[in-house]
Amino acid sequence: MIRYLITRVLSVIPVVGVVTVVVFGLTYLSPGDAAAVLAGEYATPAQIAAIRESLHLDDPLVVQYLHWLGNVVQGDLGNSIFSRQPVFSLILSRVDPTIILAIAATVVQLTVALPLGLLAAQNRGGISDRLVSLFGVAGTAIPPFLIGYVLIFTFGVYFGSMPVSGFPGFDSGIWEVLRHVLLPATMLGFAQTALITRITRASAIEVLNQDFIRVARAKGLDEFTILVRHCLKLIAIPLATVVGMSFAGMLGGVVITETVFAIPGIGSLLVEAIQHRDVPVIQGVLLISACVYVMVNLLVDLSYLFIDPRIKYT
Amino acid sequence: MKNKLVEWTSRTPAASWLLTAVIASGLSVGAAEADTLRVIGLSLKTIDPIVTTSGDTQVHGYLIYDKLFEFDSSSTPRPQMADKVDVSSDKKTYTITLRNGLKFSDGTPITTDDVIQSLRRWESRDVTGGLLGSRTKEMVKVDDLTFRIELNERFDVPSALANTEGNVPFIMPKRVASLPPTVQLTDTTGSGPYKFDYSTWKPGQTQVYTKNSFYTSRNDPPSYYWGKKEATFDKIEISDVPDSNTAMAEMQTGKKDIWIWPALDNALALRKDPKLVVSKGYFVQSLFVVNHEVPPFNNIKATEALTYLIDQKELMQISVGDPQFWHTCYAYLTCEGKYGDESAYSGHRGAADYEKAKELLKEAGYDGKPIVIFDQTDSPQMHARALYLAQQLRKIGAQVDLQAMDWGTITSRRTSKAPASEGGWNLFGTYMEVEPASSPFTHLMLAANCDKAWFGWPCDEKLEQLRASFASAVDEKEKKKVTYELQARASAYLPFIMTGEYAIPTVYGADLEGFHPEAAYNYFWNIRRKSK
Repeated sequence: MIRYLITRVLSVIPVVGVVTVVVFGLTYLSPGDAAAVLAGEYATPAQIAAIRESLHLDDPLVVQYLHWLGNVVQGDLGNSIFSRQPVFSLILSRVDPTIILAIAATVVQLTVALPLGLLAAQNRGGISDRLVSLFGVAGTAIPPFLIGYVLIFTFGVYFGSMPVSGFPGFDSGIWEVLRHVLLPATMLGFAQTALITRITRASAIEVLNQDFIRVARAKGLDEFTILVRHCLKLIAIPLATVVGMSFAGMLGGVVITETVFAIPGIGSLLVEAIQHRDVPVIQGVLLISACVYVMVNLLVDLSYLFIDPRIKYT
Repeated sequence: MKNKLVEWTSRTPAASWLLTAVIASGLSVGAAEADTLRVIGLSLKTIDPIVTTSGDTQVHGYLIYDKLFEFDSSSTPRPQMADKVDVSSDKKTYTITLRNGLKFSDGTPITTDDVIQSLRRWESRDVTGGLLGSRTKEMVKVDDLTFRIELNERFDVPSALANTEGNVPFIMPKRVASLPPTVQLTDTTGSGPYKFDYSTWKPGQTQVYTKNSFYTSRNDPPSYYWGKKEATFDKIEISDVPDSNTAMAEMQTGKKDIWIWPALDNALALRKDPKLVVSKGYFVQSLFVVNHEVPPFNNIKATEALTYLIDQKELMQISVGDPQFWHTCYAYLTCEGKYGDESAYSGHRGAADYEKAKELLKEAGYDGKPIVIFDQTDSPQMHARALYLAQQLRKIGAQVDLQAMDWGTITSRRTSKAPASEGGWNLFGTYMEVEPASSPFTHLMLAANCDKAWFGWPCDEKLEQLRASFASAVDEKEKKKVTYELQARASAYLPFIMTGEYAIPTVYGADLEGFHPEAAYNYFWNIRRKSK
């Protein structure tokens, strides 16, 4: 087990190494000039050249990459070209909204998807199954931003009672934070809810057709107990995989949701950095996101040990 | 309708989750705090107004810094931090005295050491500052409150120091202004009515300002940028709401007070809301940049052909729409500024003349190679203009290579002087705010100093001589004469193609007074709620 853990953790290193090379290469191959953007629209070519030189943007690509990699190994992701703030601090300052949003969206997904999926499986072919299937298709087909606009219009403009932009920070109280993430979490969770509902339904149908379920029913167990104690336990592994992947993806930044609701999270940080060719920030965000993604996957794999004690890692 | 919606939400499990939140949230949602001004539309990424000319940064600068001179509503430069200015009879020596008791936001006194260092840093970066610097024999301290600028030749120093465009000559502490002009400051100690809260700044997203208790304002009645600058709100919160539909919702619900630089379509959609004012804001001069270095536009006849292809009225209807927000203009120094004069323009006006344009392009020796136009697709107006230009050129038989890209890519591609067929370019659309475009000092695209000029590199000795003459002119009559000649020369040389002027709107709460949306760099002092 320990050996497995060490191997998995060490396997992060080549993955991240490849990510850094690809990210660095793509960033520099893509057109755009951070010095020109920084200097502003009315800067002259000479002014832009002076800034480019001061930022060492004229250095050969390999020199820039090795310089950056050397700093990363020492824990320094560099500074933003625009704000001059350390990239790590910038990422830290944007982490709270993204984590809260990811957790809230996951709660939305699970509280809606599990009951709906189980309900549909239990009534396979019935009206509730068809309605849930319709929801599954709609959730996948409807663009999330449309859901966001509907929520904004209904609860922000029509009722005028919900905040539709920003993230207040924990110093304003947990209730205020929850109010701000409720609508974006609903939007974000919608598409994934549909997916998890469909997976729950499909997995549950398979389990509910097995002999031990028939035996349980024959012994007189009620449907609720069968679904929760016996069926849910068996479908937990595929669910944990999908939910884990979804959660890891959200931690890397949820660009559209953060844009629609003006949430200062990791996704919006990345978009701003790309728009302005703020290379150190782009690289920092992608590097950290890759690490988080790999680590969350590892945690998901480890969770199988608790879900199904028969599984052993050697 | 509302009752039905409540009934519906109470019957369905999915909606009840949202309804619960709505009811609960209603308990704690109130109007925006009365002493906080909430502004959206700005995205501050860089806090050094000397490193960048970005509008977001200059607006930030106006909140936390003050200047020696400011323009009043008649565009006359008047002493702001300066108490008085003595000008020698030959107009080559300016002795400027600061007001007594001025302090930075950290409580330290503002002295001429700070002022001189601030101006030196600004001169090394800004176009107008560079002109002043090149004409300055010396800038010396007389005492803590007085300094002297001695010039080699005449120059309108107060106008230069009141400059509101490009890099603005804000006054900073000497220790901050001692940084090289390409190295960004991180010490935000300022001289203006507000203080910047660096610790809560989320670059590109939110920034907060609070009152600077050490600021001493003039007491003169405010007139545009000049005069009393009172920090009427205890706090100003500026944030970026990238999605314009969300921004509209924020304005409609009164959660934000001012929306800077909204898209015109969004602004127009808010016109019927009685709680909001949709202002024309400020105008920009819309233009096509021409690459004078490569064929076919290294020949004046090809550039002239473009003027015969562009019908400003048609182009503005396509790219802007509502006629209240645009007008045609054939003045190189804009139809909004005091030096703009359409009578100096001798070129083609009005509807397109395809035959003439075709003839001129042929005379220019156009060889049928594709003309590369940068199509800026992240701006609806620029995109529409690029499509229009491409269509007009195709109508006269020209080959067009319309290359779609975002503005960030254009900033990189436009630096190339290579032929269009080898990765270079011929044309792209942009605009310039009318304030800088109204003066030969600050109209970058009018500078025709070849390799040192802005992208497109116009090269014309006569234009440069006239710009230099304007810099030396100190009385208005002389300036008018020079600017007329300059515009006449520009209409013959065609450094760029004018395509009209349009407004960048501003939306703000009808309960506000004292706000000036017409300023290209908005300032947020002297604003009050009418109810207060």
